[in-house]
Amino acid sequence: MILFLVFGPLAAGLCCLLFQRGLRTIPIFTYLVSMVMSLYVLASGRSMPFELLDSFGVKVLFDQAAAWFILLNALVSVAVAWHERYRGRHHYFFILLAFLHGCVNACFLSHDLFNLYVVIELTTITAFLLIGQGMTTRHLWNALRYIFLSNVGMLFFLLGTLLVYESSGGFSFEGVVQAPPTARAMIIAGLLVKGGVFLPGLWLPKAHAEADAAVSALLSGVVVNIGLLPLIRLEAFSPDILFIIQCMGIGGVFAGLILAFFQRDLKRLLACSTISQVSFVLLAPAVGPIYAFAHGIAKASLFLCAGSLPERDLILLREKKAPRPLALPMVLAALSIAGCPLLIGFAAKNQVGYAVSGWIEPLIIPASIGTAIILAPVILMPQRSASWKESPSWQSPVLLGAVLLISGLFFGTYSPGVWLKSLTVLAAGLLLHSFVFRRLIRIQLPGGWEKLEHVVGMICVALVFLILGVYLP
Amino acid sequence: MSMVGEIIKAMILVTILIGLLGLLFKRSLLLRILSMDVMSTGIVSLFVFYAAHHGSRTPTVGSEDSASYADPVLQAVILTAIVIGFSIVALVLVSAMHIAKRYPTLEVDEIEGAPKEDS
Repeated sequence: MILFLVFGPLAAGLCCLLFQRGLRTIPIFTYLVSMVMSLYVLASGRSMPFELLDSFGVKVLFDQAAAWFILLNALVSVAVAWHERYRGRHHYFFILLAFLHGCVNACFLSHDLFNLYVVIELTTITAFLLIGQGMTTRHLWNALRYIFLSNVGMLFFLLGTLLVYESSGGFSFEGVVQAPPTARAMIIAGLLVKGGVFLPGLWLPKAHAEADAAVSALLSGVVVNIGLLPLIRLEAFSPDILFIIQCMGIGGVFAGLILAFFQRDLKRLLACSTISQVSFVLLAPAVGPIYAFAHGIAKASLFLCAGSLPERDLILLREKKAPRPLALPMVLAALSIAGCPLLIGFAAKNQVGYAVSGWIEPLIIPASIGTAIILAPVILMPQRSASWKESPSWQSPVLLGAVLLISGLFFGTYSPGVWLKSLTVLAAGLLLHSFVFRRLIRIQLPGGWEKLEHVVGMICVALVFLILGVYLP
Repeated sequence: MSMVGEIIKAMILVTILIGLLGLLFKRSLLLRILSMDVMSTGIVSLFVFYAAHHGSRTPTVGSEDSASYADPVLQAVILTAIVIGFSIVALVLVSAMHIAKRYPTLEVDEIEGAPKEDS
């Protein structure tokens, strides 16, 4: 039954490949099945462990954390498939989308290190094909850069896996705790590259900003999470690992924010905000999945809208104004990430605030204000009225917005103190943006650090830091 | 472990390091892709090396001493990684081929420094 989550979409994609036309809707049914199954697991509170074959078999775990991620994957896949159906895409896109859905589900379900390596690489290959679909030099270079970097990260992961096997005689996540520190550092570094966190994740803005809107929505909404869920699971096993990943997380939160202050391009702004948001997920492993869900839905909606806007440059966009059917779901999604009450982002941010303790706690408020500042250009975007019939591209974002609202109403807290606090944070962010930070976007940061060799170098530097970090305590 | 084993291990580690250095310092895209392949070859050999830690016999059913068998799990598992590594290199080379139509030298700086225009 669980295996349908993986093989259903793959089979559907294969059917489309064989029969070519008229079958674009079949994959959508498999996404709906994923949605129903994850809702069932979330509602019943059960977890389903499963092992294929007996010893050294493939371990699969469908628990609450995985259910949040699979629900996210299903919703974003449905939204993207619906969004792209008007655009005259080649049916190849829908096939790859189905494959990606299956592979990502497999990443969320797999519960041993080697299996995780295989499915992450599969996802990388599918994502590579999606990014490079335009076949122009720019698309191909972007795709090549993506697969190159994540392959380097995964090579480190593979080395770490070998060391874990040497020390514990198996590939289970529990083995990582007893493994030598170098192995831990390598596994964490590999996953951080995939998750786009802090130094190893600085490849992300360029890759996500230059892909097509629908592909960026998938990358930022879903694919970054394949690195995050294993990290969350590892964090649960040992406080040492938790501490190291939290340090990287705090670094990522602020690095993403600082980069985002200077971005003039809307899609790059959103991609930098992704860096800071995925790091939030890692701060509190217990509520990480719900935060990742809230962020993924909102970010997918933002990217889908950003692709249909007349202009990507924020300064020119102020003059041209965004049509209202697109601007409304964008504002809703941005408010959710910034933590406005009634939306799921508010509930998630609140829970992260409760779950963290110690030295991280005082940093949460500045980070939240920073998040509000960087999303202020989207929230305060000038709008012009336009007919809703003009183009159908508002439908998917509105669907995702509805999800944000409904889940927000369901999980939100209704105490006045908390509301007041988050509204104050939001207002502070908007005011700071309009008085101080809106001038920053005219400053251009030097772009040299985004070159391939520098990004590979940063992965190595981060690995060295991690190794030092695990040896010192 | 024997002296030969140590030497082999050192050579494998040097291979991985060479691959990594090539990734960082080579100017041409093609050579970078090849260095990535060198690095993954190194890791694959490390797997095979560790698998043969306790002995190099084929693990078949028989009356021999079971302690001297090579570890079948690692060998089985690395086959998958070899296939993945090979397919990734193949895909990357295909897209490098397309890029080479526009930038025949495949210098990374040249590709990255170029203005964003479509072919």
